[in-house]
Amino acid sequence: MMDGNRLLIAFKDQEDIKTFSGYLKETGFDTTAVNDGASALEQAIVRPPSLIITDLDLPVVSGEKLFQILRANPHTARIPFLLVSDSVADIKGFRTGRDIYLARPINLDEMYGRIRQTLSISDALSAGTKEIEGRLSHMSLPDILQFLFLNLKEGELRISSLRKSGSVYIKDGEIYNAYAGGVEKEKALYRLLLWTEGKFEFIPMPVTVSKKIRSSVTNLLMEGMRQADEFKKYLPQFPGRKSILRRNPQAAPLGTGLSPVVYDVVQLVESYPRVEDLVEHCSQPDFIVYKAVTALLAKKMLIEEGSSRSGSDELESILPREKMITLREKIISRFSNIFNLNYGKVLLVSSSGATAADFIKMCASVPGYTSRRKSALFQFAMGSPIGTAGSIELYGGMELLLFSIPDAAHMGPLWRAFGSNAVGLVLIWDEAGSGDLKTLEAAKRDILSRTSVPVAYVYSGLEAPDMAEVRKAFALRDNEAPFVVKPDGAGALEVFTSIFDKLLNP
Amino acid sequence: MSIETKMPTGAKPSGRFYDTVFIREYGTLESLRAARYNTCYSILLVDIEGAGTREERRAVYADIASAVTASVRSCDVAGSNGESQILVILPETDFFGTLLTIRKLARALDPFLSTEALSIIFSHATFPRDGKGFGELLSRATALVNEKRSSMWERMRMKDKLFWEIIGNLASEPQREFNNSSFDAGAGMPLSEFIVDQVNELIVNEVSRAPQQRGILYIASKKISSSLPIIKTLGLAGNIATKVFLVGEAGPDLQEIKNAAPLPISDPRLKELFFTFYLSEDAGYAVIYKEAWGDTLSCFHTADQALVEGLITKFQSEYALGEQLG
Repeated sequence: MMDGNRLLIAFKDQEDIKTFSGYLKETGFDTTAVNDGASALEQAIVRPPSLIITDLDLPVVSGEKLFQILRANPHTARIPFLLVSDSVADIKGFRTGRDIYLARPINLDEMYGRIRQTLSISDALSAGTKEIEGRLSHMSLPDILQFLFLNLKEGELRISSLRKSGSVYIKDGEIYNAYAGGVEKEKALYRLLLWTEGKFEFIPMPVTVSKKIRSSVTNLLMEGMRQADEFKKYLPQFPGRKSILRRNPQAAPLGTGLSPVVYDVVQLVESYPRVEDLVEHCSQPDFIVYKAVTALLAKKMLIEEGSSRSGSDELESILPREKMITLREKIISRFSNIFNLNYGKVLLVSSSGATAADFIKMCASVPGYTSRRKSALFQFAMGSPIGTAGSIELYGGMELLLFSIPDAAHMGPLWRAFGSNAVGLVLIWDEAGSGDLKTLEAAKRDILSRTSVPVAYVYSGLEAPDMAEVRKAFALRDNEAPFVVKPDGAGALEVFTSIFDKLLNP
Repeated sequence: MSIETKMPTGAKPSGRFYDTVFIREYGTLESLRAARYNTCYSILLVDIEGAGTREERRAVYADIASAVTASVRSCDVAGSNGESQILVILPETDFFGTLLTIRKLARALDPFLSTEALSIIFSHATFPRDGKGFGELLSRATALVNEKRSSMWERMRMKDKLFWEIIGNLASEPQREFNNSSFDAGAGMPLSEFIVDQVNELIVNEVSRAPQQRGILYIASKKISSSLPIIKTLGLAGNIATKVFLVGEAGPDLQEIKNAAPLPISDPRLKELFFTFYLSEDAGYAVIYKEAWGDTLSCFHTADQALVEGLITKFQSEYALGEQLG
């Protein structure tokens, strides 16, 4: 029997019952079958199932009536339905995301997938199934994990603290995996162990995630607490989160036999020079990464640019606070979709992927800039970034996403489909792209015909381009000029301040 | 059939077809009602083109109007919007509800399309996403009629073709527009073969930015295995309202996938041609990849909503999948 889930199947046709019941039994579900709506109603009330599969066309009580009666009953209101009919029907009270509607002919594999998905959502959404909930200030995370371990619990432990949230998946008391922000496994768990304020709730549910954490709970907690203590102790010695690192060109190549984290850090620093980005993208726990970075700095393998210590991180900002507030209001006022009010996009349309990648690297020097966190593909993405490559934090939780669209000649559908919430456009080219400014100009015209946003023109290279040619290609006015951004990042800040100025003073 | 002329009132007898003045007045009232009660509603335009002489056109129009009136719900109001358009007001109906109504009407009107000369275009607009009042919705829906007429779906009469025939054509015929474009990726190309994963990740990231927003996403690959990068991205995405389906041959190591339902389909064509279709209220995007020689991919992608919706409809109907859009 699959995870203790019992399905109630109601069809008037015996052949249908055989098909559905047979298939679902094979996949491991426990099923109960009935031939009419009245029997289905009785069964659902006497022994509420995990999900009801019903034909709309049922004798005695129709499928739709059955759905509405059970929805109105508080004891059965939470049972999800899979409704089947011969044609599209409008069902009053249908809960999108919870109930399923399938028209014949039915693909049984799809039906199975949808049932599994609905049951897992249903498990997660079931209010009142939270076995334990409380505040971390009353019961610390190690205590909760030990309690769950000793009681051999199975389910998801959710933790939320301010704007952050994380989950730990537990089966038979053992920790299977943990997620926090964009990271998982031990790295996420050790991070969660540092949270002392916030709420937790444990939701008993079948855990189907694969086991990615191998150590025992006791070992994990001891190691996590050790790292937490040492992190606090060494914090003043660690580089600041916003510090920029680079490899020392004079340093000798790395030897063999060093800890794997050292090689990881040295490799990642090329793509993620900012300390917080480096820590985020390295798979090792945060403390281990900070320790490795500190050791590499001490041995002069890495050079730190900007010397804020971890204890003294200042909140950097690209604009004064008052201007930030106005900018946030201006950005919000542009959008009508209430789901998307906390971010705006700056479209980075470039002549090639390499040009886009170079510009994004240069953006590391912009205050408040963070490179993309949740990427499974960052190594490839950095060669030719597509989509959100980084973000600049504005005031009040608003983010400015840098949305990269390389190869302007062929990527029109990307800005057309995902260009909503655009607040700015940056056209980027380098020497190799100088011959095809017409394409960038055409892209600009297309984007501006759909949304009115300020534009910045960026030439990426050491020497300034032929200005007359650029002015002619983009039909620039006298007060407009392209920015020249150099490989060291000089000039990137001005690109964004010019966009902000245009947004503030249209 | 008779056309009713009446002043709008709160209640509406079902099954009637109204004149332009009534239907527009009704639309304005519906707009005020939706704004007052903070709900949504949609308008649907049925644009009819062709059908011979004026008399023939009028006869066809009347038949189509009858079919529309018979197909819509009792709460929907249908009426004339000029000689070649039918306007339907759909109370309390959102973007996806309207798309399902269009599918229903398309089936009801299918017999009329057997004549080569006749073409019917459905367009729609939803309050409040497409406009603040009835006038704005009508303008948006009228503009969409023109967009749809010029859409690749209509131009290439894809409605009459099979799903894999369309996919094959799109992947092989180069397109050079901002809405529909072809490109190559892979070894030695400016874009790497990882573009498949990059684009999928881009879409899932967009979805997770607005997790409450409805949508549908089909990601078809050669094999659904737990090592697919998109599975990790989906796992990190939090709970999302968009329905995500992973299509392809199921790998032996496949376990439960967070935020997605696997759709095991063993079709040899998926070995060479795979795709991603995404449709939401805000965006429609489809990308098709065809394996070429030397680890390269010939790709086609589009932001044409009519084409994306058409591809999803064809895919669902030919693989007997649930008829759903979001």
